[in-house]
Amino acid sequence: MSIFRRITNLFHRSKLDQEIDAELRSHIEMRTADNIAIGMSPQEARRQAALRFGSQAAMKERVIAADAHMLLDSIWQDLRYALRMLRKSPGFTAVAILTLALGIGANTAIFSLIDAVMLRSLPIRNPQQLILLEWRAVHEPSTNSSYNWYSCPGAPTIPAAPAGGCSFSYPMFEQLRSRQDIFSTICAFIAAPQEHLSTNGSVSMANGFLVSGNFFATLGTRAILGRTLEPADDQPNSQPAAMLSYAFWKSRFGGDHSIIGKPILLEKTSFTVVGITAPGFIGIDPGLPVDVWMPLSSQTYVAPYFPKRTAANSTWLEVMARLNPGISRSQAQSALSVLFANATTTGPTAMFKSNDSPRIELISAARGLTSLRREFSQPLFVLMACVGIILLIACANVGGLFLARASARRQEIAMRLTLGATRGRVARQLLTESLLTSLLGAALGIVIAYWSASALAAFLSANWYSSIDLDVRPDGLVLAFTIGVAVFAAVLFGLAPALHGTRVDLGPAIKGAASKPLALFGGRRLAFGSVLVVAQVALSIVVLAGAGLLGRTLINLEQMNVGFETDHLLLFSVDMTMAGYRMFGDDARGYQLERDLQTRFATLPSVTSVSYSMVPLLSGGSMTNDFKFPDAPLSSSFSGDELPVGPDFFETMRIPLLSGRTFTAADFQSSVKPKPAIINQSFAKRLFGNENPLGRSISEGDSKTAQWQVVGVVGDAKYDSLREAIAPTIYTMKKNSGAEFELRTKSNPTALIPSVRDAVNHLNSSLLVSDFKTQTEQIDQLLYQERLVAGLSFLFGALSLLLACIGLYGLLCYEIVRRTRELGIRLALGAQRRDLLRLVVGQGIFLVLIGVAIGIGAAIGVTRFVSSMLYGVHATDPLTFAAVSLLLLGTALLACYIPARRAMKVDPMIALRYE
Amino acid sequence: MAKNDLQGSLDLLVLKTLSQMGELHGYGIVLHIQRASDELLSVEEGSLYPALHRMEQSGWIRSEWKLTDTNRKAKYYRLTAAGQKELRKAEESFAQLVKGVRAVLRHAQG
Repeated sequence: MSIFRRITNLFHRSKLDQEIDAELRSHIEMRTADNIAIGMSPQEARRQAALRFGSQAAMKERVIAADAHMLLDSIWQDLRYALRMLRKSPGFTAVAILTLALGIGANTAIFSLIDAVMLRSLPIRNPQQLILLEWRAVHEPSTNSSYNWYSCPGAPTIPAAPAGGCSFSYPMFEQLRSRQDIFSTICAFIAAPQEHLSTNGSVSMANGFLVSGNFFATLGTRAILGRTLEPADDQPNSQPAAMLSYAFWKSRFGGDHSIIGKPILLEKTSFTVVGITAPGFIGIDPGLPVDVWMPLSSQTYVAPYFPKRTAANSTWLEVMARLNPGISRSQAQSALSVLFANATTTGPTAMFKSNDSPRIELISAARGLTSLRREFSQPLFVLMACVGIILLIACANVGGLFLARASARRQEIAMRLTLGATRGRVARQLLTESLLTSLLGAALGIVIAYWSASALAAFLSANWYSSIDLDVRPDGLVLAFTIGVAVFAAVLFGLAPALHGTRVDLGPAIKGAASKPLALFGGRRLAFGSVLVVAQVALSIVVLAGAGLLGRTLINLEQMNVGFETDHLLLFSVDMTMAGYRMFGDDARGYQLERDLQTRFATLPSVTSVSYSMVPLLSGGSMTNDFKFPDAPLSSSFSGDELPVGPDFFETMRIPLLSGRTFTAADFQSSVKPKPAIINQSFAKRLFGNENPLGRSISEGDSKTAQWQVVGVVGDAKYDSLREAIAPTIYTMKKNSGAEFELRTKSNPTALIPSVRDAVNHLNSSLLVSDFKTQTEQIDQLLYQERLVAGLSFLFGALSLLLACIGLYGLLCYEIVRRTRELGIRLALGAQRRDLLRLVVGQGIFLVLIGVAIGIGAAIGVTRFVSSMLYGVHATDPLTFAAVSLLLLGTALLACYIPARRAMKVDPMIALRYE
Repeated sequence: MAKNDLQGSLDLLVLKTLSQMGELHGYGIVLHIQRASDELLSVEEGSLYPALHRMEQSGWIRSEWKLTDTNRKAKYYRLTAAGQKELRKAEESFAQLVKGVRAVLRHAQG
């Protein structure tokens, strides 16, 4: 009995009952007949016959129990059979498994990144209880200074309160902390990256994080060695204490247990190491590992650039908390909003006007902060869509293979059907085969995924401004996802062939006769194969169109005229803090040191010009200010960019001078007010229109005094972003310490790195020189996301093209084998071989054209979802669409030509005798 | 032979019957065993059918509905290759059992 029937039997007992009844009835009838033959009366004969069975009901139960028991055995039997079938045609199996492995692997790879960046909860106690505080208001606050390290996660923009942020002042934090009726624990923190760690005379950088005393208690994460930071460490007069992250402790201190209680030097201040964090805990911003944890009170030593603790209108700390068990989130929100509004709209340090209605929102922080999530969610979702389509193509492809094979196995299937197997039974067998294939593909896919997700994470880490530590090892969720995808795929590509394959006309099939001749794509099975090819072509057009648009975006960005010459420029930064210069401090010594360095670099061989600036161009960083005429009202001001630069900046970057002059050495020495400044063309047009800007004055913010006097106008050049239009930009004189240098060279700029190091060391060995890169590398880094997405979508595009063409090739090959006799007849009747070529190629191209048409329609529908990622090309760019269509047609032509040549070689005699 | 012992050897008897007779329905199997054992063994019909179903699902025997000589519909069973193998095994272990029992009996008499 088939397992299919047996499962049905379990639910429809009556069917089995009937069958058993029939069997028993025939038994009893035969016995009765024999009993009568030996002389019993008919009644007696029947009674005796029935008696011998005992209880019929009990016996039926035992028969049914025997059936149920066999269910598992029979599944195992199916599996073994499937394995045997797969082994029988290793080529077919290898192609199917590899195709599926690519499809499933690509999906798993992107999903494991999504999992690592977006889905995983922090490894802390009850992460779902952790909340982050956000403020909202109608207008932006007026603060002395504000730091926003992370934008607030998750909260949708509220039209009524468009302004919002997650940073608070220290006094505000103290007020919040005093509300023990609301919070069970609460902590504040801020990242202090780039701390100088001195060990054995050498200096290296460490990623610091400043936390209030309750931080670790709030998160509920423990020290693996020593203890966590505690409130006692965070007093104004506490001895500086620090915790090291597990990875940092392992890599920088070799996992030395005796480090606990020992001092380390951070920013030349001695900190006592009190503990090591748990191995899985890298911080609260997924993917961005922290090296050293320090109490907020040590801010004065390691991050003096942050606002003072006492400043009530400087917002810089983010706040996380857990609520008291008795209080709901909305209750807490309204209570805190009252507190916040009172504190921020009254008194001399009020940041908001009373009608700004400032309030507090509580956001879940279970998955931590969102730096990476914000950065990568869109590209990751685009890539996920891409690989989803790849999976569909792979399924259609393997589905076509299985369909062709189901046809090739028609005799075997027909035989089994004749021998009494039901269609369900055979279909289940075929499905077991596809499921097994899919799971084998998934197993290989996980390997591919792990390998490629690690490579992707490494790429991100190399191109992001700080190192990224993403754990892309497949966890339970990823495995579940992969298995889910595999089962989905198996049903997708296995079900149709299973259903079609078992719909066999027994007579001719068993005799091995070719199915009936021979309309174009005659027969439903083949029509279905054609549909699969059309679907593959259409889907790959979508992927290719996306790849084309993203590729053109990258080319547009890379080949853009940025307003200065990008080649033969070496960039690096010189860190002066360890040599006793204050970071960001406006000090004459710093300026002098920069000038000395500049002079020294200028004498290096092959260097034609040297300058420095606050940040290099196109590094992603910028400074923004409001500008206006000194005597104009604040309302007339406009937002523009400002870049403090050293002497010879425009000459080194080759930004053309349009009128006036550039800075001279004398400018830097003089203390004349207003200070000379140079503006770009956009700035001149924005403020002065057609008037001559030279000699005119400019003021910043709401100042009434003239701060800048225009001495020159230069051409527009990109500053922090390639995509955004060039903002009105003012170049001012850089006189403070800490500089990014630019060297214009005659030869390969990277060859200069050793001599630059020597020159810096020679001048002052406490100076740290780092971040060597060429300007082109800098731009590449700025475009890493575009490069990543374009590169991957190209890869996926190529993959989908390949798969679609393999699908087409397979279908045509199968077609030709099936139609060998017809082709032979055509030849015998006088058709030219050329005609056969045209016939086969024509059929293939016909399918491709349908697919292309559908694909373009679909692509027009979906490419608009990536339009925000595009630059200089429209989401429905006809040129791109035409190009990918031609590319696909060209490749498809090749895929058709190879089988078509086989059709040409058909020998009419052999073909006619065939069968 | 007692009832329990017969049940333990039921598979062996059925397989052997089918191997000798080719194709047979349940009633035929009962008759054959009775006849071949000189009426010494009588198969319990209530045990036969569960055993037949179990053996069919183990792949030892196959069934098919057919007409009997007297034009009656009946389910016929036949031995499969797996059943042949199973029969050889069952015969061997039964021979071992008989040998063992005999030895024990002789010992008790001696």
